[in-house]
Amino acid sequence: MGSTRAIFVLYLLILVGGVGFYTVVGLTHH
Amino acid sequence: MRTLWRDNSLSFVFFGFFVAALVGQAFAGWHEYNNEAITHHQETIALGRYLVSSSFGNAVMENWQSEYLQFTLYILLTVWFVQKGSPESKQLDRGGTGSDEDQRVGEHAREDSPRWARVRGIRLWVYSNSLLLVMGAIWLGSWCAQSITGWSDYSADRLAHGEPRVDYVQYLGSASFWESTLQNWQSEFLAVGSMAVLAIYLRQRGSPESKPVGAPHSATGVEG
Repeated sequence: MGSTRAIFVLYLLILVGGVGFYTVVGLTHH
Repeated sequence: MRTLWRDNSLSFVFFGFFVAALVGQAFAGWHEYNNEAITHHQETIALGRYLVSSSFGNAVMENWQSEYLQFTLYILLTVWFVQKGSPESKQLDRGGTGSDEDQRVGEHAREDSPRWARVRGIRLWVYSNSLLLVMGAIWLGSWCAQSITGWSDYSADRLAHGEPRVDYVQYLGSASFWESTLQNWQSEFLAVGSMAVLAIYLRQRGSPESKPVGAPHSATGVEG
């Protein structure tokens, strides 16, 4: 289950990272 | 290595598709952005700069939010709403959140149940709704990111045309924001509704999204 958990975390990181990153990009008027 | 692939092939394939499509979108969007810049006698930008632009961020977030809204709504609505004959629906008399016994929570939890299914109180409530909570949070987060990058992009566009900037709240009421939002929502609602309906009479042998080929059209909530 270790690798399955790693994939779960990878997907969550992409989602949270993508949303967070582009929120900051928009807020800093890039 | 072989076990890793065998256990996770679906997640790997979709991840590969996602990366390939995102890279394609980045290159195509960058070319389009620079074509526009040349037409308007403005400076072109490097790919690295485009990737951290509100223009690219807006295009990505716009599609993310509608996908996550679709799944969030589907998870939520299928708790109570049913469709006779659809493998995507629960059986007609099974509407609602189910008994603790059916859901194997609290004292009905088994040896191999997740830890938070065995406890009572707030932890059980959170875990019982965790898929909806996380998908809903991604929807709201990406919709928010769409609105902020859209506002930034829209303001830059207005400045380039010698028009005054709009504030964030004005942008939220603009036709531009709602057109980009609703054009995505309508397609998701139609796609998810048609998936539920078409699968009543149509089949894909071997797919868990379909009923078994020989299942009757009236069979509801049966997976292939």
